Amino acid sequence: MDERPVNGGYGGHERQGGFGPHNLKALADIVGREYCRSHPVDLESYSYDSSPFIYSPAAVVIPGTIEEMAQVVSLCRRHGWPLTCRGAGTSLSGGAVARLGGVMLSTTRLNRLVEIDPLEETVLVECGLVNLELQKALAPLGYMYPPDPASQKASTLGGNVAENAGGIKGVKYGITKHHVLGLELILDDGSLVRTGALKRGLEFNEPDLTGIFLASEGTLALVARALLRITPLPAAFRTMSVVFDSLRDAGQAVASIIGEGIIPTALEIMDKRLIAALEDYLRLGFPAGAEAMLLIEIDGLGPELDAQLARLKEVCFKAGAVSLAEAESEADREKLWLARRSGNGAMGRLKPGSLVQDVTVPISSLPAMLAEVQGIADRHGIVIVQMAHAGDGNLHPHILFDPADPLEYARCLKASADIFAAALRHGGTITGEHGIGLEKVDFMAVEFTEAELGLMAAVKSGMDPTGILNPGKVLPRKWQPRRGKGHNG
Amino acid sequence: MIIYPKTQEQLLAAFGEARAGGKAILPIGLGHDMGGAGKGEGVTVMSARELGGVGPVEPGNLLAVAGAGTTLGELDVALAGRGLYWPVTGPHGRTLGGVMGQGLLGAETMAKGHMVNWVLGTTMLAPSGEIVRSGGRTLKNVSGYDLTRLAWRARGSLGMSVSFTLKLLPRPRVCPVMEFKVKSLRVGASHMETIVRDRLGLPALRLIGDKKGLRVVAWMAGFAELVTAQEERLKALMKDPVDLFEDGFEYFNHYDSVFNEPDGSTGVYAGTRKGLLETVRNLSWIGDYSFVCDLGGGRLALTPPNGPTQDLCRETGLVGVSGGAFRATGPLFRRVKAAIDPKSAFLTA
Repeated sequence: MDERPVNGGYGGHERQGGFGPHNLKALADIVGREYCRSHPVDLESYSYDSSPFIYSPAAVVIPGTIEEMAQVVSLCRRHGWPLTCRGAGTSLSGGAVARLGGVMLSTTRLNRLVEIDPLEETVLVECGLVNLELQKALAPLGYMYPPDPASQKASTLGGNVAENAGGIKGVKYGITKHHVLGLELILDDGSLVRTGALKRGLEFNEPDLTGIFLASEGTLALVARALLRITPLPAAFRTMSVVFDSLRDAGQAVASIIGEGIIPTALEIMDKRLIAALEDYLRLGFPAGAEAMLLIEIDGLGPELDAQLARLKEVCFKAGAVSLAEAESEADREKLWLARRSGNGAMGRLKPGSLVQDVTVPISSLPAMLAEVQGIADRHGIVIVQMAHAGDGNLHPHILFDPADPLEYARCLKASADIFAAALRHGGTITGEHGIGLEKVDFMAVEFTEAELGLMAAVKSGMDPTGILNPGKVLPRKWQPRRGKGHNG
Repeated sequence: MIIYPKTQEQLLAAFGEARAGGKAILPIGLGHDMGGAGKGEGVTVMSARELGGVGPVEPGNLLAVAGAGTTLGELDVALAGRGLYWPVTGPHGRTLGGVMGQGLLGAETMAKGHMVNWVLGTTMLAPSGEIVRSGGRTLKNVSGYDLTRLAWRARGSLGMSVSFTLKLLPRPRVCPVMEFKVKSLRVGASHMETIVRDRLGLPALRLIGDKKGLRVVAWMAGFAELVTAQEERLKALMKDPVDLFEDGFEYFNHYDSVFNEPDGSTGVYAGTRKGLLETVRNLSWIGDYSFVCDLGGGRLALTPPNGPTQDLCRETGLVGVSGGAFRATGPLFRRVKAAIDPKSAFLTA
């Protein structure tokens, strides 16, 4: 990779040159002076996301209405300014950094929950609404919005749509794409269009391109509002932790559970290093010396859950479970999920820097893939902590390093590449939910053929012919539109 | 003339020949939804029917690969034996490629969302004349743009589907259907609203009117204990007499086949549940029509006592007619079409 990843202060960052006063005034005329920022301190704040990449924008705008947002896009197109749309900046792959500088558009003021409709089982939201705020509004009505990325306390629904965010409940309830019914989009020229169920009228006989914008990382259009499908809250849960003697056995148990036709709400795996770090951090009473652990949750109306739980226990013991503990109260359940949610924090105790990977493999390949990741760590002489949304084959190996040790960091990058290659060999993909961003852009040519990349590039050039929308992301440089040379420009 | 390629090689050869002759391609399944397109000069109609077959089926990965020419019936038979199903209920005679291109709104749309969400990957013939894949064999995948979506509701205007990798579910242990007889359309609509607001999480909910009478139909599916709980709740909510059918798959297949537009019924898409229920409440002219009102798909399918009913929408002010003219005029479609198919290799019907 030609990027310079930084983490925990390692490396440096790049400035792309400032905007002149006339340009800033043009932006301020749209959003107001208060919401147009160019002070170095502001630019610094918007120069990073949750990935190791740092690139400073030349200006930051924070529109208060969809119309202002559209005007900013239109202005950028007229001047050919790169435009990066940012929700809460929680991207783990560099999706929300301004690779080529230009304008950073923050959606945080566009945070209205426009409508909850229990009969339609839908909500209409603005792009800057935080995922957790939606959950809080829905819960008293007996509904939830299932996609629950780990960043849900901060990440916005517009960002979730742009990245097609997943989460812990993906195995049963699916990910963002399963819940998006329609979008209001701002195209590169500032025009507003509606897709899917947001477009009333003769929708049934029209193509529905809503899905092409999911996981497009703001490179095809900007999401202004979204119509989302909501789901009744389950009436009851059963949650348990299951300890195994080896990571491979735990992985085998996951494959057996799915193979037996049981679809848990969540099926998470943690390796021994993470269990020990969590125990050290939270003192939850996890068994000392546990090699691997599964966190399993099922939900439903209630009466069916005991039978499912009994079947789950049987499958786990058959796969080599050593012990099993069922959460007997809501407090017990919360404790187990606190452990899962605290994984990233606990790992900070092991090493100060980490690269979080995000490969996905078919579920039956999970045991082999877990073993292979461990082999990669051993081969490169580095520490990889393994956690995974195991129920959908989505591994998040955390590659730990010391930012003061550039040689170790270089070995981590090689290990990342090996993990990508292993996932593809197992019939998987290089990213299940974190996106391509900047981090994996050079690996796209490994996963896809020239014809496939060519078709993606054609979609990109159709939607963003001048290449202003989040440039440098998703597609390798060869396949990016030539900036300012589009046929519409 | 319709060409039926049996292999990817034949498909590529037929495409090359058609393009060399200056002809545009119109991909079809079995031709249920041609709507008169493809009959003119300069068009080569290419059917995916011979690009069928199911396999491999991977129960441990909850997926199966199936050719675009596979019918929903063939798929269901192949999966049922493995204890699996694809949660997209529709007419068994339709092909996968056909229902993707048309955008089938199956009964389970209420609980499972659009059928495209149950497609993990696609292999397709792109306008460039190359075979491309999108997605793959994993349940999560955000690598690059989701080109699978180019097949969804586009009637083959952006490429021709060759095969799909489908996301499956364990076949429900029990899947009964309960019918509640109702006295009027208004009462039926109110019952449906009551059931939805009770948040029971049913796979499908319909109001059916035919010779057998008017009734609300609720599909339950899952473990026996769950279904028993749902049945008890439904009986408590509804005061009307009940009939119970054991096999929901068989039940819904029967009605989906009967109310299949090319066989003489008209589908009306109301867009929203609210709109659909309001429409049903006001069907005062319904007379001897048979109908299925599907809350999940937001769709009303009508079979008239005599002859076709293509003027129905105009008469009633309802929006959308499935099987009617394909409208591909929106700015998004035009941009994407112009970019990926600048020489119009595929017909925009």
